[in-house]
Order: sequence, then C-alpha cells, then structure tokens
Amino acid sequence: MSRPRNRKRNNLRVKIMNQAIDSNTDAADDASPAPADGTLRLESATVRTAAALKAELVTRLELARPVCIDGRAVERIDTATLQLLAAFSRDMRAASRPVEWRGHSAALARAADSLGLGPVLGLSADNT
Amino acid sequence: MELDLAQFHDSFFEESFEALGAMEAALLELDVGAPDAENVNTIFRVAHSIKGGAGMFGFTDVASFTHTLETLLDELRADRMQVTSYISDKLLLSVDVLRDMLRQVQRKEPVDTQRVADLQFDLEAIVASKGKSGPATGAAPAAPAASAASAASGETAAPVAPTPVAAATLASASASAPAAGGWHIQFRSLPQLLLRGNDPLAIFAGLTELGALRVTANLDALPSLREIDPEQCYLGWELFLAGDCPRERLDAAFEWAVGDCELTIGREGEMAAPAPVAVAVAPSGKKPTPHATQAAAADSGRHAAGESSSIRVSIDKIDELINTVGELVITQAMLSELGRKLEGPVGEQLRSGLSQLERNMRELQEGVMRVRMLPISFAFSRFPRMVRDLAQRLGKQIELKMTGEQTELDKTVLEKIGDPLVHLVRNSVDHGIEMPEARLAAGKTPSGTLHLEACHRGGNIAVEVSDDGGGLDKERILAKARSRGLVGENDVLTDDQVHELIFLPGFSTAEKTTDVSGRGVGMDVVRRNVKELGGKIEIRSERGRGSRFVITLPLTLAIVDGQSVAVGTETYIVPLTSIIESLQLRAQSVSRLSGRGEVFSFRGDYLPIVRLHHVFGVAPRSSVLHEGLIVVAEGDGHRVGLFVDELLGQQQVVIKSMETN
Repeated sequence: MSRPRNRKRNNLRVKIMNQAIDSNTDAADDASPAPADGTLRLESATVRTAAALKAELVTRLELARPVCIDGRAVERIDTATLQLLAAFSRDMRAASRPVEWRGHSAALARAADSLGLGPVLGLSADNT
Repeated sequence: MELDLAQFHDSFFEESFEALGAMEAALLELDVGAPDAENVNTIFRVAHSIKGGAGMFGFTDVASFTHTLETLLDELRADRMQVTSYISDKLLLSVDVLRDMLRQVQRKEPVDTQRVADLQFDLEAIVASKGKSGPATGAAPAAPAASAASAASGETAAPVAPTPVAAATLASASASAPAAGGWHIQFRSLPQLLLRGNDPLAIFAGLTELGALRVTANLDALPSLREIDPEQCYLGWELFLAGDCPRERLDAAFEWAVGDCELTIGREGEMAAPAPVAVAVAPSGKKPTPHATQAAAADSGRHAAGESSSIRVSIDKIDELINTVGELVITQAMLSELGRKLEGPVGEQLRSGLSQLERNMRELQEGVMRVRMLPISFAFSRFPRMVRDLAQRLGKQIELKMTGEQTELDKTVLEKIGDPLVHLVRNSVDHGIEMPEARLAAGKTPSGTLHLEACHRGGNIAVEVSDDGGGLDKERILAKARSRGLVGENDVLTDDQVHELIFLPGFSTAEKTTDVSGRGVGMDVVRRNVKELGGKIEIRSERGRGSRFVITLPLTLAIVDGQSVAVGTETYIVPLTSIIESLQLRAQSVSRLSGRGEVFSFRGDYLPIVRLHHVFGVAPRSSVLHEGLIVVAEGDGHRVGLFVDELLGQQQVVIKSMETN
C-alpha cells in the first residue's frame, strides 16, 4: 500500500522524480560548500522524499535557531511537500519563530497559491 | 433472500483476506521459470474460492476480476504457459487490487473500477499472448477491458453503489444545467489520497482550465509537524470556480479522487455555509467513514452485526486503563506495607485479604498488558514484499529470512519500531548486499541473505537486521568524517567509534543517493526513535562479511517487577529481570584484582563487586562483605555483584515519566 499506483491511468499525476531535498548537511557531497547559516535549500520534491524532508524539518523545529528556506531551485513540488512546509510554517509561527524565505521560484509560489497555502507559507505568486 | 446471505458476508471477507495473504506468500515463493506445482495450485485455489464466494453474494466486479485471474492461473497450472517475472508481478498486483476491491466492497464504498479494468486488461493480454514475456501490446483486444469496466460500474446487482460520490450526495442538483454564479466545491482528502497517486495540485490545475478558481485551504485537521505522516494528506479545501462550465466536467476533474476524498459540489450560494465539512480525520490516521451519506443509506443493522467477533478500541482507552491499573498497583503496595505492621487477628485477616488482592491485581495487570501485546510479525509482514520490490529495482538477488515472528511486543513499541526497521532493511538492501557480479567476484553466492530476527533476551526484546553483504566501509566512513571535520586528521578511532559516526545527522557515504536510501537522513532518526523507546542500537560489522544491527527494546514501558533491597536506612529497587541470583559471600571467595577492585568468584567467572552504599553515599549497616548480601545483576551484557545489607521483598514498580506526572 505504499507505492503510488494508477500510473497508467493518468501519467500526468505521478511524476517520479529522484531529485529531492538537499539540505546543507548533505551538501558536502556536492562541489558547493555548505552555507554556514543553516539555510534549508529546497529542491524539487515529491511524496517519495517527503519523509526525509519531514525529518529535516523536525530537526529544524527542535533546534532553537532561526530558519531560512531557499526555494529558488524548486522546479516541481507536490502536495505532500507543501503540506509539510505548511505544518512547519504554522508550528514555527506558533513558537514565535517565523520562517524566512530566501527567495522562491515561480513554480513554488504558483503551487502554494493553487493549494491556497500561500498565506500560511508566507508566499504568494504575486511577489516573486 | 439477500439478508440471509448478508450474514455470511463477514466470514467471506475474513476468509478472503486470509486467503489473499496465503496467495501473496505463495507468489513470493514462486520461482520464475520453475514454479512449484503446489504453489501454483494454492494460488489458483484462492482465486477460485474468492470467485465462487463473490459470485454467490453478487459482488460482480470481484467475481469478474477473479474470473480473469483464474483463467490466467489455469493456463499456468496446466503448464501451457511459463511463469515470467512480468506475470508474477502482475499476479502480485492482482493481490493488491483484489484486497482493495474486497475492502471497498466490505465498506460499501465504490470500487476503483479503472484500476481494476487496467489490470484485468493486462491479465487478459497475457493470456491472449500465451506467455510471451513483457506486456503484450496492440494485439490484445481493447473490448474486454472496456466491457469489464462498464460491467463493473454499471452493475446494479452489486451491493456497492458505484456512482461517483459527487452525484450521490447531490443527486438533486441540476446535473448539467450551466450554473450562472459559478460552482462551490468542498473537497477534503482522506488520508490515502496521495498514496493513490492523486495530487490535489494536479486536480486543481485541471480546474483552472475550466474557469477562474479561488482556493482556500483548511488546515484544521493538519496535525503538528512531528505527528504528520508525510505520505498522507490532511488538508481540505473550499474552491470557488467562476463561470458556467458544465457539471460533468467538474465531476470528470475529480473522477480519480472519488473514494479517496469527501467531495461536495454545488452552485455557489446554494450550498450550506462553508460548514465544517466532517473534519474527522484523526491525526493518528484513523479512517473516518467516507461518504457518510452512502453509509447511512446502507443497511446500518447489517453493518453493526459485522463486527461481533472483535471490537476496535481506541488505544487511548487502553492506556487509560493501564494507567489506572498502575495507580492500583501503587495503592495495593502501600496497603500491603501497612498491613504488615498491623498486629492481632484483624491484621491477620487483612493480610490474607491483601494477598488475595495482590493475586487478582497481578492477573488484572497481566491481562491489561496482554491487550496491548502483538506479535512482531505485524511489523515484519511488510518486508517480504518490500525486499522483493527493492531487490528487483536495484537488480540484486536477495533472500529474506525471518525468525521469531511470534515474539510479542507492546503495541506502542511495535508501532514505533516499524519505521526504524524499514530504514535498516532498506539500507541493507541498498548498501549492504552487493550486486550479484560483485558477490561472485568476492567468492560469495550471487544471492545475498537478509535476516530479520526477533527474540526475548532477558527482560528485553532484541530485533536484529543482518546481512551477508559488504559490511561497513570503515575507511570511507573515516575519510568522509575527516573531510567534514568531524574527526581530526590524526585521530585514531576504534571500530566502535567509527560505527558510531554513521548515526550523526546527515552522514552519508553513498556515492550517489538513490531514491531508496543514501540521503544521510536516516540512521540518526533510527537511533532517535529507538532511544525514545528506551532501547539501544548496536552495530557489528565486518568488512566483506556483512553487518548486523541489533536493536534492544524493553518489553513494556509501564510496570516492572522489582526486588527491594535495604542499604543502611534506604530502600532501593532492582528490576527482577536483571537479577540472576542473590547469595551470601564467604570471606575467602572475595579477592582483589589490580585494576578491577574487589571481585568474587561466581560460576567460574570473576564478577566485580559494587558497594551500593558507596555509589549512593549512604552509611551501611555493615561494610564487611560477608555480613551483607550480594545481588548478582546483569545489564548491558555485563554482570556485577551488588553489595546490599538485606533483601526486603518483591514489589511491582510503576515507571512514570517525571515530566508528565
């Protein structure tokens, strides 16, 4: 029961992407050095990478440090990921630690808007 | 007539689910190319008996699907066709589809006809192509699938009403008349929506093509981040679609999500105010009855009768019960203590009453705890399928061995151990076990073995995940840690210290991260989960020979039997499960070893003596070893002798968190 099904009947719906979130802790694998300020770099993400993102966000929530998300590299994003970000933003706000965005892609803002999650995420397609 | 049959529905479903489990197991054992005849027979029998039952009860879509399945299986059974891995995949998928279909029929939900028809088409294509491996294309006629789909959705004899929910809830709404003021849609996803491959983003994107769309999200049911299951959807939406697009197009947009959401569509202004749309999605993933309207319309009496053999009780209620029992245990211990001091005939009577109470209390407590105990096979059962699928995707050959599945574990512990185990199994499959060529080159069998084992060890449960793969690469781990500045250039680490490194957050040595594992998010979470349960995780690994992850967990989290001991004027409690025995030392059996302090000989071994009065800073009655007692206790694989003044008695101890109480 844990795999997306029905691929056949609507191949638009399930786009399997192996790209995923890449937080600064993992970034040492790349050539780019990890940003020192703890910015969470968000890339295209799907329901398959949501568990990893959740773990990352929970850690951020626990660390009493300001959180900054860089959403400029997001090309594709799905509801599972946006839902996590929404819960994260809401929980952070409840703890009086609003999330700061270091920019976001148009795709991210558009997706957030389509789901009506722009306000809770502090994102809007208009101010790209 | 139908009512008479209805009473057998539940046993039909129960038996079918059980049979499907057997079918899945048989399929997993099925060797491609050289299938065991008995296995094929088992599979055939399952399909056959489900078909028979479904036909008798009028579950036509189930019957139609199993008929197709049976046709294929009959070909296999008669050796007219070879089992290919493609066929075995499709058969496994059929198990999933059948299981879901039966579940939907049981809950009187609409059946996912498209999915069924798709698979049925594939199965028919296989039969038509007589076992050529790979999906048969073109040649297979499209008609069977189409007719199957229409049979499934248009069949009135089926007890399910396969009409889309939208139509059911708003039967009165003018179906096709263009709406002047636009449409108002209330859409709340059920938890499984995303897993079924339905993404609201895609659905809403489809709607924007029909007109200007205004969306408000409802986050009321969204639990806190920590409690979210990332694969479930907790959101609800109010959508306002401007313009006068026909109703049918709206229905079409939501067509695939039917069954996985609560949906109401009405003309703007016509609908009840944006009422809280049944926000019953519990964060724990409990499933609210979908399509309340249909469920209510269905015969509710039949519904109730179906759940007689077992009842579902919320875990909160059981926990409340356990908590109360815990309090009772404390009160009873207090009374026993008092009763001991009372003298005279009344005291005697009180004591006998109290011992009776103690016995009953123990039974009550054991009974309540047993309610929460489940065999670990609940956590293990997902692995045969998972390992098979993963191995296939990665091109590896893996044999999964499981032992001790009947070991019982507290439900909370069991639930929380699932995810860590999945991580460990994935890691073993992805990183541990090598590709067949690499294994052959290393002089091993091409097929790797993954072993899952559970057993009781002392008062604990040990769960082991071991493989005969490449083991942890210490050099790579160390090099990685050095490059990230976690370990100094010249530090020398022991094996254990190196193994410890992989538990650091974000640590991964995988050259390329796959969608299976290697993201470096994982082992730290595994350890955190295990620690939260009061357990620990150990790694044993040998380069080239494999690795073994051992998770040790407490059996239960709530009540332990304890031996109270006296040290000076203080009383301490040692868990009974960790006591091996108590003994009085003779002066000559104690010796001093350099570097180990005082030791005594115990069954051919020398155990260190821990003087509890030293540890706790209490004045003892006597510090001469043979005047007191030694309690031989075991913990973490080590044994020590605890020096105490005297043994007091056995008592149950309720362990409670200092924070929450």
